[in-house]
Amino acid sequence: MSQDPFEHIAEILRNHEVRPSGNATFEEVMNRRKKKRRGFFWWFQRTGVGLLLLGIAGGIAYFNASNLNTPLSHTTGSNKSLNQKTEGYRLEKASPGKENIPISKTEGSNGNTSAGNADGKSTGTGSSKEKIKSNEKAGLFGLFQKFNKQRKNILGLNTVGAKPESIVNSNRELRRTDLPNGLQSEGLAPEGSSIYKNGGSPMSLSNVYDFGAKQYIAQTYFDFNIPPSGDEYVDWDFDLPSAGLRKRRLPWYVEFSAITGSDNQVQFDPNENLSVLGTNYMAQYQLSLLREFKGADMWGLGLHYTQWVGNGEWRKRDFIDVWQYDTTTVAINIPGLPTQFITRLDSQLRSEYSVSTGQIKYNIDKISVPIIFRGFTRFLKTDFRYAAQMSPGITRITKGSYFTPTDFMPIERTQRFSFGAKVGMGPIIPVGNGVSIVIEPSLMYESFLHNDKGLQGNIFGGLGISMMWRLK
Amino acid sequence: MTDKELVEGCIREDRKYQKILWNLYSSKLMALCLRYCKNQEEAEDALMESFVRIYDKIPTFRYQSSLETWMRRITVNISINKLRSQKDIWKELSESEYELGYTDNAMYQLEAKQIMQLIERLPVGYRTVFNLFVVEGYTHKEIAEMMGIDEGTSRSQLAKARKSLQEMLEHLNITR
Repeated sequence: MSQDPFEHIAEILRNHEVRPSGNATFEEVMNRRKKKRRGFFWWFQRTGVGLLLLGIAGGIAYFNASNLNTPLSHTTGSNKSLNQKTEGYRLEKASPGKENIPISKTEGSNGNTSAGNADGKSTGTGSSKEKIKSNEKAGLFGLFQKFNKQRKNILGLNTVGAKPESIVNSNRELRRTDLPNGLQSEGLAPEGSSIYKNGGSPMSLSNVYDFGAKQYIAQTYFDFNIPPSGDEYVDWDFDLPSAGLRKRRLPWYVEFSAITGSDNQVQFDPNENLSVLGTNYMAQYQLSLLREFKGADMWGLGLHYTQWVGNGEWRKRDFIDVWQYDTTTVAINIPGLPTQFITRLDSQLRSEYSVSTGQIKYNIDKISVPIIFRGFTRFLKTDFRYAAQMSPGITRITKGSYFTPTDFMPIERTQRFSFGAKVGMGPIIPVGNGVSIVIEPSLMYESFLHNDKGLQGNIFGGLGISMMWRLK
Repeated sequence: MTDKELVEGCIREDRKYQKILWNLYSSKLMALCLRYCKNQEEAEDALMESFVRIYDKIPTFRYQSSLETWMRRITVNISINKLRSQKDIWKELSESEYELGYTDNAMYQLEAKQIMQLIERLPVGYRTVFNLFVVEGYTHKEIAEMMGIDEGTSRSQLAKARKSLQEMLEHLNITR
């Protein structure tokens, strides 16, 4: 026994033992280690999912809504003269036999160029203040077509046979596109209605078939006959009775998907001499073969067919320089002397522009072989699938003139290299017998290689529905 | 089984050896955690965190001390880290808070559980320094570095802890 009472206490305390309660167990320590070891990749995956969701939501909002509300306001053209007075005039398009809805309002008429139009085309010169009525905001995918229809009405795009006209004969280099209007009526644009009808039915969640969701099986190893570390996670097979848990073979899946998307260019850029206002639509049909790998991720290959169409209106501004002469005569009357006149000659170079408009459309069909990744996660007690894929391929048919917001180009040629990509995420709904349905908002990129202009493409916000079968 | 075999088994991530390590030391380290932590729940949390650290760091064990000493140091560090989040660790204990008395005889008659109860009655600062200095054998300099305090504070806390314990024991002797 120690002479120092505190040393005696220390000895007692050093040898003192307290058995931890049931909350602190070896298994719990191992669990903590495992969680800690998830490390970078685990968090990277989770962060990626979050960012993906955010990106999809932001992307859809951006591509479908935000740019629709930008009014076009444009006052004068550019100037080049000694005495600068810049005025423009605006030729408005009219359609014979149809009510003409003016794109712009023309004010004044003080230039040296003016013209009337017998068949209803209103022309004029002077300072132009243009304001296209702002289009309604349509933030949801389902409002695209309604919106586009409304937009066309506002802009007069539904005019059949409208041709670009200009009183200034300077737009000959423009490629007029007299393609027939009404892509949708020709069945080229994805209506999508048949796709959504199937996905709209309520699904029962009672028969949960969890695609690869990892379930942690609590360990109850009380002896030393413990399997090697790392085997604690097993894939749960819901087809088995609960007592008969076993590691299952990693299955194959077949998936059929239908996806639609759109991308609006609903703005004439006042800073561009050539701008195109239009909407691009895309519909994809995809058949995929997927293999599940450990960790519940899937990889696979597929075959997909894409219809990609666009229609819109182009507008071109052509500038001309106009000399304007002003002569002023001043009379000087001095009593006793004859009246004298002084004539002042003045001139100014004024820059004026004309506006031409026309319609444009294109149609691209392409076939691709996507390389597919599928991952699964759980959020708010709901299973979600996130997807990414890259789709190299070739175009099968290309017709019309493809357009960007500031350019357009003919694409009358088949079999160009094409590339597509998609990221998406959506809830996975089991419907029984190894079948699940996924409703998947997504962001898609579609492109093709143009001979002169290089890679051309659009980013689409859209929605897809997939049906996935597990192969026995 | 020697410490070396145990360590090498744990380095191989062999669950059998990891479990043996837990069985051998979890009770001792739990008692240690209880002396630093404010309640059972926090002590168990510190214990499990300590074992996670031990399993992770055991490849760095160099046999410069016994395995138990090395594990105790890790556990003390983790318990101290938990303490750091608490406020007013170093508050003084007023005289009126001493309810127990002192006698040397009483001290030798106490069992571990009773000593633990006495220790628990000490303010956190007193208790921590007492545990570190008297039980674990740290120097005041080491305690000062661990706790982020002056050596003087460590010394004064220890002195006050001793005095408090003596007074508690004195009272205990009277009441027995």
